[in-house]
Amino acid sequence: MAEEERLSEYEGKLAGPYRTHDKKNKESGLKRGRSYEGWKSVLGEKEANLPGTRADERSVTEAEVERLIEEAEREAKKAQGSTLEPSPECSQQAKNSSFEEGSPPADELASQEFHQVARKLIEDFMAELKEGCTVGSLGGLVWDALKKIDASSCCRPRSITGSKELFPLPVGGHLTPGLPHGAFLQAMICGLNSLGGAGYKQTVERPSPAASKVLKRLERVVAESAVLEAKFTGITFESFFGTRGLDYSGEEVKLAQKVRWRNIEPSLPPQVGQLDIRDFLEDGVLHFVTHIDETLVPEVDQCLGRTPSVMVDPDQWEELAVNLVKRGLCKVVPQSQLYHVGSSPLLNGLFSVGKDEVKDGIAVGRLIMNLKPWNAISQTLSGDIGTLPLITNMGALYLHDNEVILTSSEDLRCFFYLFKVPPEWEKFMGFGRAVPRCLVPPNAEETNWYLTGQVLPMGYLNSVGIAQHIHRCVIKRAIGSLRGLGCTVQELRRDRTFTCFPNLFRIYLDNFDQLQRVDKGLATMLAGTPSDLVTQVREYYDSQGLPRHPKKSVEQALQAEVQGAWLDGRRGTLCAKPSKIVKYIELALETLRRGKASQRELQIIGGGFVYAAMFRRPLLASLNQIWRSIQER
Amino acid sequence: MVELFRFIALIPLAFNNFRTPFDSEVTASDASTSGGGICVSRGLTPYGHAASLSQVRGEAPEELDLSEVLCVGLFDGIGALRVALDALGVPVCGHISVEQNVQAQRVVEANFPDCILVNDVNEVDMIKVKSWALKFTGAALVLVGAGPPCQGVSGLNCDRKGALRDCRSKLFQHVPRIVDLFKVCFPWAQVHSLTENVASMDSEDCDTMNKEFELLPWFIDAHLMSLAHRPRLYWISWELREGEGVEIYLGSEGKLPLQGQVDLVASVDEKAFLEPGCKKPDQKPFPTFTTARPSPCPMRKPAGLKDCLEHEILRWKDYHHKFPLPV
Repeated sequence: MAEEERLSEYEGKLAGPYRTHDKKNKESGLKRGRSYEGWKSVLGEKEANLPGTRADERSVTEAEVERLIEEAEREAKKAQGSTLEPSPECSQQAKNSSFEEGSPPADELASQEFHQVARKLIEDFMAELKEGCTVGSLGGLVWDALKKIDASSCCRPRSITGSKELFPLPVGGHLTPGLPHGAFLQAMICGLNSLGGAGYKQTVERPSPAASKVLKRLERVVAESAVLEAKFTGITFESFFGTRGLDYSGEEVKLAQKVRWRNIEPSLPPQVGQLDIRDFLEDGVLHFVTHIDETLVPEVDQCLGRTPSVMVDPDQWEELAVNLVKRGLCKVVPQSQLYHVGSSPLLNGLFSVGKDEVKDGIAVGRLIMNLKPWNAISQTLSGDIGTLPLITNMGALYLHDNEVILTSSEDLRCFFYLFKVPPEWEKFMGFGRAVPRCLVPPNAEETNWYLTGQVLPMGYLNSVGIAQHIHRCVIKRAIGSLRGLGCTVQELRRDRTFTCFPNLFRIYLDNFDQLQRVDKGLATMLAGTPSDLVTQVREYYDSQGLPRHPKKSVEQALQAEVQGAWLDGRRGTLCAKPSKIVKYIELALETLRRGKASQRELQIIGGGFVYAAMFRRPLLASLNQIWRSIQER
Repeated sequence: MVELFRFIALIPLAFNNFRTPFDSEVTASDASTSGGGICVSRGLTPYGHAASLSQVRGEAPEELDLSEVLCVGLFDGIGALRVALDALGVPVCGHISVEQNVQAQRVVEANFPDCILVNDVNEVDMIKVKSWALKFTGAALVLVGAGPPCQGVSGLNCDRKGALRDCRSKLFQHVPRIVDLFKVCFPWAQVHSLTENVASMDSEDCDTMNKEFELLPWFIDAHLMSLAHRPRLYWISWELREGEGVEIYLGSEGKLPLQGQVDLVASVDEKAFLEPGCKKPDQKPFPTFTTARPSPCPMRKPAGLKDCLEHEILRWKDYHHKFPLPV
């Protein structure tokens, strides 16, 4: 029997008692599938019978749990007159639900019909779509589509809490009239009903007091949603894949492009290659950066793969090479000075990626050194990689009613390339194309000369940990110097628990953020002014020759972008940046209209939606079929 | 297809709300695609109670330029060195636990999931230590703690073979070897060692260890800061200083080649250690705790037998010789 069939049979057995609604079973106490409320009441009753214990103090022993389970099974047998095998009725229900979470209607025909309907709805919507339309305008379409789904189709077995059941929430008739995005709210309720095991039923029954509270809350969520106000961008998969792709691990990455000096020049501030990296390092990172040979794998394990290409048109090569040398990003060395594995020189690649910026009519690009060959013979140097903060860890932050969050932000320009690496690095950073004749020194004895990097490269295995270390050292010195703010702020970092300190900062490579929990009244006074900490950090940046991005500065703002997410300090919410999410919604609509998608298209949409769901993790439970589809292909 | 529609419908819910009120009941749910489960807390376990009284990060200001410590436990047992560092509030950047006993490993792993477990001191070589150097670049201090096996030198064992002849006790020789490896691979950090062994060893064995460690040990008995004796020798590579509760006496009485004696003095609340209803019979500290090993017949030449009273010997026999004398 195939693994999937066995699994399905097993689930069918379990689904039996899940779906048994007879009175005896309800009274029997412990049964599989009982909801949290059910478990609470049962455990409370059982516990009252245990001698010498108080319900709020004691913990249940393993033996007691075993006894409770046995008792429950006995009761279940009594109630069903058999074992835990599903009854024929239950079996059918289990079969119906065997398509599991989030899958399409079981019947292929129904699926095709649904696709036809959905396609028509989307095409009608697109036909009427005007410039400046927002995600909120999708409400009617989504609601209409969900209404067409077989009401009984269900993403998971329904719980058996009976009268205490919250789902299904009533979809119509009990919502506040004239709500903005009312149709979206209805669609959302319908989606929640489906996730809650109640299928896509559109009940209009009078809501329970608990359901009323939930509906009010949902009304507020929809009314205040920033993503619903985000405007469509017109993105399609064709335009998306023009600039982006997927890497070997399925991560979304920008596409490699040919390097032209005129494209990358605007991204390089005058300070590139001007700062000695050793002045910004401490402890082990300083040691290994100055003794880079110690990071190599043993010689016997060294193996060179294919040399990556230097993505530069021949007619662009001279201009690029000359300017890279002139600006201190590269120098020229003879082949004999390069690192050799066996008799082969270690040579790397060059390419650029778009920066989504245009300056004087020229698309700005970022120069990337493809150092795969060097990475292949290097060991991992952790540096400060463990301190890179995760935006989704912010969920642990708690705001009191009278508090808001003020966000300040600073960004450093072209961070990696500012730092000149020690000469010991140069032998590993040669690029696989001979330099133009004009760069070969006169009277040179050797014939083959190459460009080699002189700055902290972005494509090197250990650069991220080193860059994070540099910025942490800078901030540590900035905070400790001058007016000594040392103990008045605390760092948010991945390898430490979250902190309840009111004045926080986080460092993410070239980015510095300060997050302050302050009183609402005080916030209005402070908003728009630089904080003491930021002032001190700016002074230190200036003193060290670190160029800021003044346009990206944020000064004690109530709303700001933090590590690509949108932080609303007044409401106290954090979500994926709406302008980012709207793109994935548009791509999802394109897929829905087509009725089919390639694996990489699904990966793109799934990745975007998973990112959004990281800010409300239970939503991940609604992305099962799409995940399965990706894996099965 | 339905999933995509549904997710779009639910997308306004995808946000963190920093004002969500706390619930006194903690739940944990299973996110498996083929099953499900949920559990809910009903109260505090003793561990949870202790945790609820502990300080949470952010309740106190913290230094920004803290030097982090790499904790290396050789013969780590259940990780007492790490527990001590945590109790002192030392910022630990990593914990390497070298221990053969799988049960002890499980204890360490359960309490410190991010620790690096190594099965045997013999496995600690240059390649391993170098890989740790690449990983723990933020370590300003490497503290190598070691409690090598003592059976071969313990005065309780009349069949002891001595520090270099007993295959267990001679493992102490790995301590200086490994400390040296750390000194080579962590040139930016201070490397210090703290090695413990029984104080009942012979002078000859103590001398052997002193030569290996290139240090003289301190004698410390825990009875002034706990309810029981625990006379031990500590080879410590850094300078000790007197302070509150720390009294240092230089020199030895000649029995063992020592640097001196350190008295660690603290007020001890009996109730914090004894079970309700139990109390000490007198002010004398309990004898050193050892593992209980019941046996139908006593081990050869049990230590302390000649000094015992008759009722103590009888009680010892009643307990199947599982405790050291006097019982």
